[in-house]
Amino acid sequence: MWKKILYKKQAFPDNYVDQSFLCDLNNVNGESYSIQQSFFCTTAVTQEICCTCIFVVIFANLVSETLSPSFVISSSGLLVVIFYLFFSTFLDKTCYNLLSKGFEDLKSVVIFMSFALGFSSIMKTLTETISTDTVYAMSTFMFLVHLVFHDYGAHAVIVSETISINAAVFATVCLGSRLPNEIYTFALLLIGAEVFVLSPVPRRYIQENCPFGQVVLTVLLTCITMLLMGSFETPYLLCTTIVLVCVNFLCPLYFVYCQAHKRHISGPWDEAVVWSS
Amino acid sequence: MLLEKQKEYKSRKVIKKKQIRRHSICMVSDFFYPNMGGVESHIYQLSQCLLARGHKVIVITHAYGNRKGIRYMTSGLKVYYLPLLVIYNQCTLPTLFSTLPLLRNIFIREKVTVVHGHSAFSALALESVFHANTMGIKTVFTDHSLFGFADASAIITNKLLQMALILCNHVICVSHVGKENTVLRAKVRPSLVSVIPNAVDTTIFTPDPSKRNPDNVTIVVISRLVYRKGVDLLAGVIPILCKDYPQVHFLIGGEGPKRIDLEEVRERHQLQDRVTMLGAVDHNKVRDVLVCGDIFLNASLTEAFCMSIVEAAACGLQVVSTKVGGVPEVLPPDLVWLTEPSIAEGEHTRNHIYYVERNDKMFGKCRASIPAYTEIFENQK
Repeated sequence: MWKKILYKKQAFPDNYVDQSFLCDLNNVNGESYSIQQSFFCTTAVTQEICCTCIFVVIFANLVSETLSPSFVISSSGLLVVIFYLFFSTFLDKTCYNLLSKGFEDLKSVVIFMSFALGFSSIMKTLTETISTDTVYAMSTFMFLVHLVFHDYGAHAVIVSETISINAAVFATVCLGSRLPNEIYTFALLLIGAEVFVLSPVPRRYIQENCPFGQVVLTVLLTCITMLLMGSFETPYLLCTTIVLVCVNFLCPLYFVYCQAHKRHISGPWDEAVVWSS
Repeated sequence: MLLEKQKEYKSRKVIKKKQIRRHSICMVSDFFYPNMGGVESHIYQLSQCLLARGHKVIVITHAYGNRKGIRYMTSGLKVYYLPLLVIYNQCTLPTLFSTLPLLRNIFIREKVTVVHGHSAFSALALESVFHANTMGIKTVFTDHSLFGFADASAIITNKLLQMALILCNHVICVSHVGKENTVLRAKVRPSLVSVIPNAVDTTIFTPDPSKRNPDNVTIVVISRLVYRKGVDLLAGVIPILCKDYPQVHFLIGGEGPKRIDLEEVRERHQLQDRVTMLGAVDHNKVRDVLVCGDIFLNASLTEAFCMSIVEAAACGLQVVSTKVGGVPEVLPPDLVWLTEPSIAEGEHTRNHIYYVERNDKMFGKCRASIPAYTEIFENQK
């Protein structure tokens, strides 16, 4: 009878392969995601892409002066106030004292807006000497960086909210110099802060707590993006549609297909994990 | 009648000559003297045994500092120290083609018939297997370690190993777990892999109960003080044991980046007189340190074949080890007590100290068991 020991010479050859060979091998497949789960989880990515596209369209309209900065500032400010009140009173069930916290938030808003107003003239001249092509290329790259490093709810090493927000703000600053006036730059900065810094907060909350709301929001944002892109030119609309379809439908399908090939093998050769009592 | 006898004698002589066909064996590895370790001593001792059998053995390795060219060691062991670029941890840069001219020259010059590569971490060994196979020389590869599958370095190393082992005539692993691991990593046929465990030189590692301190129970730990040797476990267990058993003393030999953790534990719990740190122990002094102890503790997190526990058992110590890798296969259950790799393992070590205490009291019984240990290892030779 062959035994798995080394201290005794056994009556089998050295290269004998026993029936029990590799019996300690554990093939752990780990978590496998269904197609619905994958579709649902990629709606976060779609939302972020849509937000970026909406921001770019707003910028394009500001440059061509079809949109006035006062309209942008006032309408976005109103939206922020409405969403803030709605979010704080109805959705956030954690003891949210509107008065005290609201006053603190108002203080920080006032501080931010005054700083932004002060710096918008500096911002406008910051990248003015750089050629338009470079500015557009740089901001495109920065928006891509923002999309790659954004926190979509997955626990991955690549996720870095800091890099993501910094890249988006940097892109905003780059684009700000292409605008005709300081007020335009101030409006762009405000809308940039709202889209990239403030909007992820309620969107993340909805993603975690209200799946139906997440789907509705995604559909809404996609429709708005398509309308805005359509108002531009057809190539943009086509491009956006292809990207969104790929991201939200083709990529999850491929991911689920690839899962079948995933193997995580473990056995007695693994390095022991130290559990400190 | 005489003619027949003469014919028989001649034919026997011819058969004898055929049986002791003299090979020219070339050992290749990045790891050799002056670097000290398990693989290095394995290569050296294997070479000495083959030389004793009448074969010709040469060793090829990379240059260590000023040590370049050809050096000769005991029994005429010729060592080639090749001037190759060393990148990390005594391993050469894997270029494949830059080693071809040198290796081919050496193989032709020495009329090599068998090339034996050691250690999957050694790029030189893997490349030599390629080149030897191209030249029609028989190749053997010995894998000394266990490796994972999931991280980036593991994926690259496993692929390189797979490419090299396709060309090997035979593969040797040091334990059954090691064989399973190698077969999975390199996708090699299980029947191509032999399991040949390492051996200990029992003429050097002999017990000496007179060197022990009868008042204390001394626990000896000799290993490189790195994470994978379980220094964190050790740091957790030492204060617990020292608190519960006032007669327990620790003797820790070895150097490494984790030495600072043990020093810290020693300072924090005021165990300066109970825990002795010896620092790096010379290879020829290891036996002298081992015979001072009663128990040998091995807390490794992963081990293909733990040589140190065999050396300790040969010196008459009771071995306590973590149940990882190939350790359960190495020694019989009465010579080694296995525990799980956790701090709670301290619980088990308590029982073992109790047993050794009991043995110490029955000093006569302890002395009698030592000849039994040496007998087991003599028979295995």
